[in-house]
Amino acid sequence: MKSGIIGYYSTRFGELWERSLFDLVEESIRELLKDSKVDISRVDAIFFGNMLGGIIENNLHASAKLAEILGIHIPIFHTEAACASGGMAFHLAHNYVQSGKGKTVLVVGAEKMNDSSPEQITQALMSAASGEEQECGLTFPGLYALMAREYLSKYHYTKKHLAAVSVKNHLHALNNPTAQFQREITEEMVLQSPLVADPLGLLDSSPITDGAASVLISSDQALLKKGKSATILSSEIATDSISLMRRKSITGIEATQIAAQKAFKEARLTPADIQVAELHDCFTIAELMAMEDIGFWKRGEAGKRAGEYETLFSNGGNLIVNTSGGLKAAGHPVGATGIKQIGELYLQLTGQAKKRQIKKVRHGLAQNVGGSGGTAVVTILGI
Amino acid sequence: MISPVKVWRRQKTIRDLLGKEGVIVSWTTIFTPPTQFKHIAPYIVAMIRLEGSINIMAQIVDYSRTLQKNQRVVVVLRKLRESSPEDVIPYTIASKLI
Repeated sequence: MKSGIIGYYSTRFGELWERSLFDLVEESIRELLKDSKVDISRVDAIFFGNMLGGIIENNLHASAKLAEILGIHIPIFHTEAACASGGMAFHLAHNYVQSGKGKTVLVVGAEKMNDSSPEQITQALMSAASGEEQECGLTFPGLYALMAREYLSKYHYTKKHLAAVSVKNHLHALNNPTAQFQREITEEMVLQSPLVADPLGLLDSSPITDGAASVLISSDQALLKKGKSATILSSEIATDSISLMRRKSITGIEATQIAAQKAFKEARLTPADIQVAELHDCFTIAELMAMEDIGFWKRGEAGKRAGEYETLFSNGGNLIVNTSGGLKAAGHPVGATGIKQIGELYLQLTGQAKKRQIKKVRHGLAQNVGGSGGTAVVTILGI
Repeated sequence: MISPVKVWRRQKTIRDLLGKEGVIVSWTTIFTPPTQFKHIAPYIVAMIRLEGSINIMAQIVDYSRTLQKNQRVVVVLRKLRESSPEDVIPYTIASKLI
């Protein structure tokens, strides 16, 4: 059954002290429906991606909270898969539409992270890692730092190759009005930034962000024809051991490899067919590994090619990566990220990306990762 | 909140690892710790491959040399995580350079 995305809305991403988690969710849903000219009565179900509400805000049963805000009685589902909570919500919503259970489904992802101290949020995020990895005092920056050190050593790269990812994504965010940071940075600034978990510094890391993003999926032909729509060609999820130490390799994420292979097969495409990608750059190393795991670049090549800024918008290559600014510069409200990535592809594919619009774009790919790679969602959209 | 019962259950498996030797695969220094490790930051955590190819994650303690890949370590017992006075003392594994 052909289904597509018919609308996208993102709140501003950043430190939003005046707004609560559900203020952001409500703004995102109401503005999306208004922009898409779809009445709430036409929405058959809602999928909500959120990771931390239960832990840091003592807010569970979000489905009923949403029903109260919107004054509705439709099925509402909450998904949690750490930083892939949004991608998982989208995947399930897509399947819900494909199964014929509903024709028009709303997917919203949100996170409120700035109310807590850095230590509290680090601890809360770490609840998505294994008990053993929590007990030794590891953090998510720490887990990615272990991968980064091994990657740099194995392929003989330096921190400068990682820094290029941040510089590129900050340049892209200059043209994204909802991004957390609209500020150009240099490789030198990344290299000089305070260490979070060496070799990763503050400017290698995605920030703590408040924000919400939502998309509307529909198989209703009338709605698909009415406005601008992008077709969902595939959405695949793969899982792996929650512990980094139990994986086959720490210089790649196998769940991404599996999900990407399945997504390309389902969409009948190859990596060469993609012109725009939103990848999960929670840390600079993650974008390098993703480029190799998805098959855009060969194993071990990513350091060199990222260092040459091949995927920077202004270089006009065949593939531009993270036009939104990625997690690094657009911000990373964890539950919202997977939705924002897909929304960015929707804007690119429907010619609505304004200053950051890529010419001649036909297919886009989003990769959303949970934890250190225990879950990966890969989605391919086309026009 | 980690229940004392959970700590007690976890700790039953620790003794099997004590005294085992292995090599450092990768390591990092944590400068931004979770709440319960704030009092000892910065600290080093390593992924260690033990004999028999089992991987563990453990802090490196009592070190004076610069770390290197494949450096040999031995598993020891430590109390690292901060707990409240009414908790079971959360002992865990750590590792020392040989």
